[in-house]
Amino acid sequence: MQMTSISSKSALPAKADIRPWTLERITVHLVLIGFVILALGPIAVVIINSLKTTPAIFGAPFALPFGDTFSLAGYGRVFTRGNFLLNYRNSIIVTVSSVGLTVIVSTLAAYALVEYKLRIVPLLAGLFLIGVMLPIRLGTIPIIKIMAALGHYRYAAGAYPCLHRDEHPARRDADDDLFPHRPGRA
Amino acid sequence: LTHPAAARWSLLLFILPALAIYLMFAVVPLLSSIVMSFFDTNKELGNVFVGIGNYVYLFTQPSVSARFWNALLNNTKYFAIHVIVEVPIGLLLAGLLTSGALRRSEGVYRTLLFIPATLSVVIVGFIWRLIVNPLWGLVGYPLLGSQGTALTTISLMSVWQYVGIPMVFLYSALLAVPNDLVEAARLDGASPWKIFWDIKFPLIVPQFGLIVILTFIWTFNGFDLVFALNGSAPGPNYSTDILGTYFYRTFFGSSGQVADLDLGAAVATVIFTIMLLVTAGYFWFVQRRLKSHQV
Repeated sequence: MQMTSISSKSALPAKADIRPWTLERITVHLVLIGFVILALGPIAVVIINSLKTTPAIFGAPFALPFGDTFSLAGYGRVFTRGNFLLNYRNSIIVTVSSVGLTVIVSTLAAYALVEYKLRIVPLLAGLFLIGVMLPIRLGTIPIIKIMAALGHYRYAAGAYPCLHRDEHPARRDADDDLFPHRPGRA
Repeated sequence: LTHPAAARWSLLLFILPALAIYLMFAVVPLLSSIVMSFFDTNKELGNVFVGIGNYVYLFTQPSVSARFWNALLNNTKYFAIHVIVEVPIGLLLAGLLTSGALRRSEGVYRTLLFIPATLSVVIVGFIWRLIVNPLWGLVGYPLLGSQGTALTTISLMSVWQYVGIPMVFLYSALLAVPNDLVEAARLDGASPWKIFWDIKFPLIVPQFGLIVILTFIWTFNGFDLVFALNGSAPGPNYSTDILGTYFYRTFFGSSGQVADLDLGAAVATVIFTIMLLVTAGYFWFVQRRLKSHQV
């Protein structure tokens, strides 16, 4: 059986590639560079625009910031007007606690599911697997009722269990649709 | 060897935290969602059992059922675009990364291509809304504002964001293909194209099938990008409405629509059933027939 572990050294060869530049290799690089541009171009547009004045963004959104159009005012306003630090702190609290809880609880369960060969184990594993496939959004209504019963409805803490049971990154953003009336939500 | 009784006890201890959280916040809510779909809670009498009344209403009330079928059709298109565009590009990129043409740059390309998948959907929506804006964007045509192009545009935004997922998934599958097989084929004079399609791809078909069914699950769970761009009544004229937003609108209500908890539960159960049937059907008819080879 092949296993993988993490090492302090990079697994990729450190030696320079001495093979000749065949047409085949050049093509592979060109195609990949093309997709990298496609992947990063839109992000670059946003970063470039973050360095410009507002009229310059709407005047020429794809131009580079030069002279008059260069402005760092947006970065200043993030901290003065946007309550950025509070949002950042909330994100960190939610992420760290849900990832921490997920790792601890699911490692314990995964170990037991592999270690003990009992007849009930495949059933339990199947039960957990179904949860990966079904969107918890479909259970929104009862979850809100459970939260209300626990008295957590009015606290952001009530959102943790929902985040915890589904670690797909997109779910983090879907959290708001579970608690649309949560205080503090814009 | 552990005594069976002791093993049972340890298993329970290890699994209990996960099982308790999972039961309380996933199994019970999903099951009670199903139960709730058979009741009517809007009456002053409290909970009234109405049997399949909510379902009959969902499929016979003309405006409600028309919106449901529209959302289902849109969601199917949304999924189809992901399968036609995202999965093949992911396969292409994974194939190029493992083609042997790269050495040190392999990790660099892999990381750069995965960056969009780490962005928040809200940021993705913002970026692309800026780029496709008909007034100052790249195209002078209102891609998001026309009924004919809005859904495709949103689907492609999602494809742009998540193409790194099938890429990384298939990349790790291709890495597991034994090198001796590839080397033997190369010595026999097979072209890279032939090596890929006749040696490597047949060996990663199970993972390819799995990423297709995962894409199905993810797109039918889709909600956030459409909601971030178009809100809960996704226009123009519901042309970008998918099952996630349809459910949200039914349950939470939206402008011009009153929230209906029981109908929401019925919609949730129908979506739940569709996903369960398709996923189970896939595993029954396809994944079961895959043979394992010792190489």
